[in-house]
Amino acid sequence: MSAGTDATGKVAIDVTVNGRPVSTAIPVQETAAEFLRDRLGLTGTKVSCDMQVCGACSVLVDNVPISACTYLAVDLAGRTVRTVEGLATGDDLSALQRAFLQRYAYQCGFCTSGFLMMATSLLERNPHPTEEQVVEYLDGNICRCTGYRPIVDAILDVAAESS
Amino acid sequence: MTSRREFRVVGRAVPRVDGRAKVTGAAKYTVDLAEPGMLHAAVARSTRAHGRLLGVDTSAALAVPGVMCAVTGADLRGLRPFYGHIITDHPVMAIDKVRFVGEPICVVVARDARTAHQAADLVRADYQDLRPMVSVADALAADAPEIHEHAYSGGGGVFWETLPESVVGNIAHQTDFGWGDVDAAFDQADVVVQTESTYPMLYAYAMEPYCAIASYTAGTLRVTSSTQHPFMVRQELAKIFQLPLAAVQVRAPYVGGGYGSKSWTKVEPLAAVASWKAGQPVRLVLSIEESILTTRTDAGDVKVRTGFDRDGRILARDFAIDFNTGAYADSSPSILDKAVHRCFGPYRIPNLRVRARLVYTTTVPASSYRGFGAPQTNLAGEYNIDLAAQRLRLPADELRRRNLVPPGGQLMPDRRGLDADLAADLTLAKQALSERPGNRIDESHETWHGSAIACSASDAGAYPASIVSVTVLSDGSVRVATGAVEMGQGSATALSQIVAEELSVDFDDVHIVQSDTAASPLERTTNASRTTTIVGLAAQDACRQVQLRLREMAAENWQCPQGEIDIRDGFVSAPGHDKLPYRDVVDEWFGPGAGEVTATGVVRRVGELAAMPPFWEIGMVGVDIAVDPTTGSLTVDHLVTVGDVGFAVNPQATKAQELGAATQGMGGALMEELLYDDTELTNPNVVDYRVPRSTDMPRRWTPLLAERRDGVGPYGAKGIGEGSLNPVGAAVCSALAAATNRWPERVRLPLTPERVWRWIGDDEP
Amino acid sequence: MITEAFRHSRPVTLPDAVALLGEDSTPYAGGTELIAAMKLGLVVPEHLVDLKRIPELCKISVTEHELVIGSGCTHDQVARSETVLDVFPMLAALTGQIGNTRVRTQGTIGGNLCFADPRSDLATGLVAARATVDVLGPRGGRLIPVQELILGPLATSIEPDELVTSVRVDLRDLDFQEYQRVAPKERPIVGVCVVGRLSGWRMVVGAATYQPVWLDADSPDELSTERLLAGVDLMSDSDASAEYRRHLVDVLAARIVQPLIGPRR
Repeated sequence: MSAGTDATGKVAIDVTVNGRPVSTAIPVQETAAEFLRDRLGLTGTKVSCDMQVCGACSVLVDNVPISACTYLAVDLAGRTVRTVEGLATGDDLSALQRAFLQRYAYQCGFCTSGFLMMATSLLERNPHPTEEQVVEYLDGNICRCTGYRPIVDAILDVAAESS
Repeated sequence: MTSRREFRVVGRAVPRVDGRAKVTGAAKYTVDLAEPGMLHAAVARSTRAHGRLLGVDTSAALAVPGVMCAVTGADLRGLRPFYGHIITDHPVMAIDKVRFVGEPICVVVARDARTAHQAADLVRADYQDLRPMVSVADALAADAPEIHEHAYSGGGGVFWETLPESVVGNIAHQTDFGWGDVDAAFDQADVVVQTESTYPMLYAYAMEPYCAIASYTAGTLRVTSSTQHPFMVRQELAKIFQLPLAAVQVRAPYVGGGYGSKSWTKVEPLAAVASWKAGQPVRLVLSIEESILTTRTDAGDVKVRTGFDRDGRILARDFAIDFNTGAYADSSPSILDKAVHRCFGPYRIPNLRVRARLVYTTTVPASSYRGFGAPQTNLAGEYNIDLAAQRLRLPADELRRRNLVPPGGQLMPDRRGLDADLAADLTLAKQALSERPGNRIDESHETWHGSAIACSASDAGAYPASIVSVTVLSDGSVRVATGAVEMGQGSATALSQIVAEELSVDFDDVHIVQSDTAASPLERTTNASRTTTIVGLAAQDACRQVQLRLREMAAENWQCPQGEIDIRDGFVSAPGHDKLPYRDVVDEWFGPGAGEVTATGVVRRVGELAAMPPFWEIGMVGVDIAVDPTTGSLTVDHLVTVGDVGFAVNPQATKAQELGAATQGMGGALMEELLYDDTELTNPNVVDYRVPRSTDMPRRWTPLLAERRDGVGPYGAKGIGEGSLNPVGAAVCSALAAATNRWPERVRLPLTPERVWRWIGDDEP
Repeated sequence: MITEAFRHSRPVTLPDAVALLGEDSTPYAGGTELIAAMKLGLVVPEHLVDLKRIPELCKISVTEHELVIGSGCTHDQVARSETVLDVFPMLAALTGQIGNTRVRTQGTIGGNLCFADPRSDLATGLVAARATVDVLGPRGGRLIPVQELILGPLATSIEPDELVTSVRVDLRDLDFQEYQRVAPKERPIVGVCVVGRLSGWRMVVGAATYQPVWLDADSPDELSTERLLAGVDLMSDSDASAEYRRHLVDVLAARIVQPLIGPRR
């Protein structure tokens, strides 16, 4: 079963992004990062290294964290995607977002959305991780500003809050 | 030490003003921005390290559908296509010569980025190869060809004490510094200790790559850029395009990291000439690999000799410094000048000689990075002190105590006296380091442990000039306009805190405008740890000026002498008049909702700011390390940083900067290194260039702040942000020497596991 | 970015997938290697075949004597599988260290093996376990040992129209199992794996060598790194010299084997 291309060579996909259905036609070579940022205007997800090692582009696809820079947008078809823009409910920030604010778990902010998405996925699979588990889980996310300590502390705060 | 209750807003960890935008993904960086009708650019780059550029063939690129135009060096004849604020040696793109692999040779403009990149891959060039020279030794060989074959006119920099001489061979700049008679002093010395060190080429890795959006129309140029110095960029663009400053606008939205690497001009001219040729706005976004090919840090080889008397007092220090600065000078002549001041440490030194050279090579151009010449040379100076302590059979901290300059003492002639108590800082660090709860020893194999403390004092702050504008709006809220750039360090929050404090308004009512040359008063630079101190003083002055205006207005409103007006706690009053908030005074003076009060605060190099540097930036870092001798793996068990900050406007933000700086320092100490083969970088990506990750965190971090109110800045503040990086390399080297009981005379960073293994096994670094 | 367009297919059954394979088509799942290579322009495929929607490739099961892992299982799936933790815990520990968290949640066992990067953890562990792979093609299915699948750096023995569908590990006399690695950066510079069965012991070195190399012996004290690496070239690059890698092989092998054989004679 091939993906259907339309007359302009684009592929039609249906995907749910932050709870909202999106139907559109995209070039087959578009990455998930390009789709989210350039096509949908969701620029919260960032591209830095562009080779899966920095984590700035981390998003959740069917609750699994992936590197959007190295994932085809066409592979999002039929799936649910969550980005940083979907963490808050209206004006109410998520517990992780509030903890990041409290702990100053950011400085320049460019890595922040990636860390928030990874942290969200960690706490969904393991609501009470040890510090070592938090540190290991975040090993694929680079922060050049903070030295990581405040980020780890923010996540542990949320884990402690919920127990 | 004064109680925090003295202040309402400063001295506290208030919610950062940029926080919500950053945790919701709403913060826009240059990479996120677009303009209507915007085109996209991609850069074609030299594949040669050194050569004459005989021609660039863009025909295949131009044939790709969707390509609008291509710009090469040959197209820039109508402009003054060079920049470089000290030595104007840097062409917008290669014109007749290429000087490093990766140098831009063409910028292609297309309707979308994919097309631009496809087309840029089709650009071809003809070169006549010249000898590549990637090392200082290569570039200084007797028969080495000149990388720059003629001298350049200066960039017009005002603040450098020694303007670079015209280029001699491949030496971009050289300087001799010191005092006394070093040779005679060495003859008298009881102990002479000689060491050498090598500090690698590093990549700052700001996670937002270089990017700029430029729009050139009808003699005006508008640029949005991920830059720390919009005003300096404006100056250089104005020169390139021969436009008045007022016709050039440069603004910086949120900046995704800088650390000095986004100081001064980088990719803005490329974006600007693309727009100039295309006639439409153009966005240029580099990849991280391209960003690595845009700028790196100076690598430094340093030889040092120190002569001591039998009691461990320094009689003389003699330094020879060579910096490998790459193909263009950028800010490196200044970095060399600072390195020369920062190599010998905060000690009483009766006789000093420093000879330093900044050498061009056919490599990626080096420019500023956190520390600005201190990390490269502090490694040499401080490790030498620790080795000397071994030879003198003194504890290292005791040797330092016998030599540290006291508060008020002289570090260099004709400079501000030391505005810090280093002995007290050293005591703080040592006490913290020796408390060792939870020091883990891995049961499965033996580990060796060692610790060290290293220190630094940098003539930081750049230049004490700043202008800040403060406006009380008709609803009583306050707008602060500053050219300072918020790149994560927390400047927007700190300045807002200062204004809220000075005007006695709610912190939430203060709003800061992002740096924009069309909307902010001039701020030359955001660097050198200067913003809280220098810009903070200007902000305080602006608040005083606002209150003077309010006093005048109230006096007129109430028809009473100005001397009777009292302004306190955010209210204006006079005998016989109820106190009014600012907005009511303004409303009455202008008419309801019809006006606002703006005042400008100015800082200049006068009075308390006459002495240079505006402040000494202190570094005092201690590390406890554990080494696995079988693998060479080194972990930092305990990191102690002392932030000698005078007064922490926001203590949490201050500590955050301390850890960030020390972490970058550890990266340089343990893992970061750009590697060159004979012609090009072999690891221009962040997989093969390894930066610290979460798993590299020290097991324990003790952040200490020393707030002795001894700085010239607001409430006694001084600058921080670089101090805790500078001594990390030496501290780690010395801790490793202590752990292994081997003190080689040559040390080299980074201390990767393999290098540590070889250190233990007695091999040359 | 990926500049060239390509055809894209998304089969939901194995027979459909096999029918789409051939010289001009490239199967992929996580894409952690393929998409990365396409972005760099190193690979320009005409036709991509996405295997992620084929349920039978993503199953983990135990037959009477074998652990069977679908080639489309992600490393993360294997690392957290109760089944794997129960019958072959070393493999869970090993896959739990590959790359970083997202490489593990995106990347698959099959993708890793078929890419045949010499600096791999998985091949080392599976060769030590004497694992086999099911290979399916238009001409039918066959079973080959992992050590015969991997021919060298980035080279495997399967044809362009064949697919690795699962990995099998014989559990019958599986006893001792340990993997140790050194990885200063993303990918390991050395990996040593020892698997002891009643029928024999095997020590494998990977990541330091151009492909996994192994030594079989009757008992652990016969597992000599000197014999194992005699005549074998070790890799040398800016991450680690051959000399350092050679030293680390000894260190890791000793850490695994010394506790089994007691103090040195």
